[in-house]
Amino acid sequence: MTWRPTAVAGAPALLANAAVAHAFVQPYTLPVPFWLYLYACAATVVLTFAVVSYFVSVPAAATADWRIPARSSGGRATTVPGWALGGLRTLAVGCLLLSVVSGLIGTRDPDANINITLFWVVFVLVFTYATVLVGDVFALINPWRTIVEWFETSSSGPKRTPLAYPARLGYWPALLSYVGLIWLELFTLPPPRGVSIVLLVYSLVTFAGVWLFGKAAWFRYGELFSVLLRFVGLLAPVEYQRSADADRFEVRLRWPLSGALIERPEKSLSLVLFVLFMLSSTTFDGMHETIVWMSLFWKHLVVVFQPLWGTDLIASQRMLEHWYVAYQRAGLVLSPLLYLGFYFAILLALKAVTRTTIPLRDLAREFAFTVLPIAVVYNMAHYWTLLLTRIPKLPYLVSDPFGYHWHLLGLGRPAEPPPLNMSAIWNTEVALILVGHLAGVYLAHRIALRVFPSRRDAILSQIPMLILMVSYTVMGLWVISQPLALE
Amino acid sequence: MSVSSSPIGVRRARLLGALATVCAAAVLSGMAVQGVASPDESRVPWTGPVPKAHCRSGDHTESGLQGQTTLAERLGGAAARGFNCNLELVGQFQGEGAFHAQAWTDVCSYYSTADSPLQAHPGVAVIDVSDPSAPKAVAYMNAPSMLQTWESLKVSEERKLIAAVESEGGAGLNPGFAVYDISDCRNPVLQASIDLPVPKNTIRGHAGAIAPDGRTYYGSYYPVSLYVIDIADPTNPKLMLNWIPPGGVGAPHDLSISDDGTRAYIMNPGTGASGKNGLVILDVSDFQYRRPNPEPRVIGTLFWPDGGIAMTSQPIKIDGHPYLLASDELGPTITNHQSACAQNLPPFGFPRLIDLADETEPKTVSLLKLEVDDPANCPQLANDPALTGTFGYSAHYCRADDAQDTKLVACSRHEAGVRVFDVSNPYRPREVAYYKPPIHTGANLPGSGINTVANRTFDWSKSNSRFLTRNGVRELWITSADNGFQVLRFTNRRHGDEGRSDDDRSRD
Repeated sequence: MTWRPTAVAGAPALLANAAVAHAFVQPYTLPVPFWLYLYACAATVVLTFAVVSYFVSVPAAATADWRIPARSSGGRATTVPGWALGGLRTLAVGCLLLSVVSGLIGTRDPDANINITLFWVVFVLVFTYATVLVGDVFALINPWRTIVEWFETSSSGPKRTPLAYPARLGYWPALLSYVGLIWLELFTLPPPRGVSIVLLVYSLVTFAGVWLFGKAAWFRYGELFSVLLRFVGLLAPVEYQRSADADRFEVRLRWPLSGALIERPEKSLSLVLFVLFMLSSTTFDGMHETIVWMSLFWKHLVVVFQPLWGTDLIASQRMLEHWYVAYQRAGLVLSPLLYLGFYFAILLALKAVTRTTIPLRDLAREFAFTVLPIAVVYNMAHYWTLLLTRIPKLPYLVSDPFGYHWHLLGLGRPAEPPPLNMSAIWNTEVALILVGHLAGVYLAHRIALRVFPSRRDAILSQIPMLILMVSYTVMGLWVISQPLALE
Repeated sequence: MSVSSSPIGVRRARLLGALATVCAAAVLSGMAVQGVASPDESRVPWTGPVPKAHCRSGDHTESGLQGQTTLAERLGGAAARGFNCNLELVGQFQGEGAFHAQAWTDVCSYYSTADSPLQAHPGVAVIDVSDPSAPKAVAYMNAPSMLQTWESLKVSEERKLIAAVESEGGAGLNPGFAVYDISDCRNPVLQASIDLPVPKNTIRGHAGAIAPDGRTYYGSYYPVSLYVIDIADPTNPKLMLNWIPPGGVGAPHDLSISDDGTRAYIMNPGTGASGKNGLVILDVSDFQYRRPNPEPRVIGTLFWPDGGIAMTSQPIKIDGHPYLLASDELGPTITNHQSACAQNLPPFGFPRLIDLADETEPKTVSLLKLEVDDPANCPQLANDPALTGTFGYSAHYCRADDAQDTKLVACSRHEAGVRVFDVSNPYRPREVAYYKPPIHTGANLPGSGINTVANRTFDWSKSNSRFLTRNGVRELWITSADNGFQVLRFTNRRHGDEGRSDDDRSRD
């Protein structure tokens, strides 16, 4: 079996990679057949379930102290130095401004304008992955929040907000922004100028939300990146807590994943959908240009709707292409609902085997964060090749951010990138998927111990969850294999 | 009394004459405006998509843009039949599939394969095309350098030699070189199969060209160096020089050699924005004449911003005037076809004709664009998988019907199949025929060059095409990845009507 990437999976497509394209990549022959990868990974997930069930007991869950004592500081949290906070905030605002300005005045070439790489790759991808390691730093340095607070300082303090944030709004504004972001990535592909305009509009919406509902509410529920990175940060071994005077942050270590156990998800369907969209949007990204997905429309759905367009496919293709566009868009928007349906089905099975009286919505909320590690690693696996090809170009973009042929750092022209090592890429992607799912199994089990009164019920409840995890694993491996070709 | 005999009549007659002259001038100038171009106007470079071919009734033609295979065609079954316009399939040898290169002599075709361990017959297939309706494999050249030749498989007609450099994955693992004698085209005889005497990774083959007199082979280490091999004695090839061009000007992709062997037309690959994508003309007479301490010298360059990864070249003559037929393998933003659209640049690579009258200042005279190359048509490509594919509709090899008196050229264009252009007026090219091989379904063919592409709804046309007239019929030999070797025939059988539809002829 020989595999080779034919297109760089990842966002945005405007950054597809030339080196890969010219087919200089050496083919990679899988040491074992693909189906063996599927079985092996699924078996690992099952085995982990058995091990976790055996060793992690109810008392252990009940008495767990997730925080790691900081011996050097006598168990106390450390305060983030003010100069570091100020520096990082200024840097974040600077990056936002650079993204906006470079798109407006720089080259139209997305490869040569820094704003595409800075926004899509550095911020949306790399910063998200870094958050898994260093915690929700974004909560400290969010540039939109910084601008709001600078404005408050210069205008003598925060004003009263016209409205209280309605509870029923939940995370819907953030989810709407999230769908919009992925929509832009997959369907609109804004060039540098377009990204600048999107950032400006998003900034205005954010400031409007803050003005209307107050910064605490809006940055907790409404602002996409605050919500996304807070959720991702729950997996990190570092937590930050705002001090009483609100301008100091305390940092302390904790066990990895423990944030997802400490924080109880709020009662909101929008939260569950948000987390599921983190997974389903990446799956859709991997799926929507495959033959399987395209054929579903052109070979099957068009047949169903034949009375509406006739019998001559070619004669009707212009109209059908409009339908196809709608089909693609609908696929993205409806993808979290599909995942929600599957998730609910699993939870119904869980209710049946445990005979619990806990309402379905509460169960959905309780187990929502088990999807987080899966969503994050799947995202990393999906964008791995994009990162490998774009990150080396970042210094050159810093040296010439607007594409004006500047040499601010004296780096010269970027060298031809070496061929991608497909063996390393494939194995990294498989390892990432596997680690994420094992983390999901662990989280699900610990949450089950919290939700159910007996260890027996907790273990029983995990059998349907195990089916969910194995399904995600197989689906994830299949989708990341789609940009690769089988010989 | 006649009017003209009176003084008044004479004045009237002069007046009428003057009016007639003015009217005639107006009519003539009007004709010029409407299409009878003045000499100056006729030499304005052609930059838009070329006029579409007028296809024969009964041809299975494209329904979208010129060159495009629409989604409905790809997935609704039409592409499984293939598409044709003024060309039809006569015979085929699918074999185990084909890779990028095709060369030929006499009644034989030689095409490369993918070098898969699953192949029953690795190496370059030797096809006997004595009967165009039943081409058949008669041998395989399987010296190590023939297992995957990439774009280096070339023939010297004069000396009846075929040669290639080792090119696994487009960057040969060893500095291999092989040459066969094809005096008996069906039975190639290995003359030499060697590793050039250089340290590992100094030379990694990709493409190449053989001088017409068959005494010199020029290998391309893409895009690093040009290495020159003396094959005057084909049983004892000798490396003359591995030349690394200063500043990268002359870094080769593929290349061609002039008839007298003194010029190398190097296709210098880059992005459009790099300012280094295009043509570099080298004086290689030191090698041709075996001078001591030979060295190439740059004598002319032409770089263009509207293409990328400059690919192939062939020196030709049209009405005795020298031109270069050149192509780009990708658009100016390489594989970022969507990025090209976003910048109002051509999304795909296309061929062009370059005037070589002054080789120090070559000039583009026409672009052989299809509608899919026009950024104005990007909205119609929005859902087209070619826009997110690797090569999409980009060009690869181009070849003239007769290098000394070119009328037609055939260009392989990946997903757009093989396109034939009439360039008899190099400033007014037009498309006259095309052929898109059908999509292969079922198990992969192990020797196919397209197996590295997932989710495919097309075949890849990449090879050089051969025009051959036999028994009053003009044939076109092509290969495509999944369909292997194919003999096509222009459906207008009268000599001189190749690629012209009945409509075209009736208009005449």
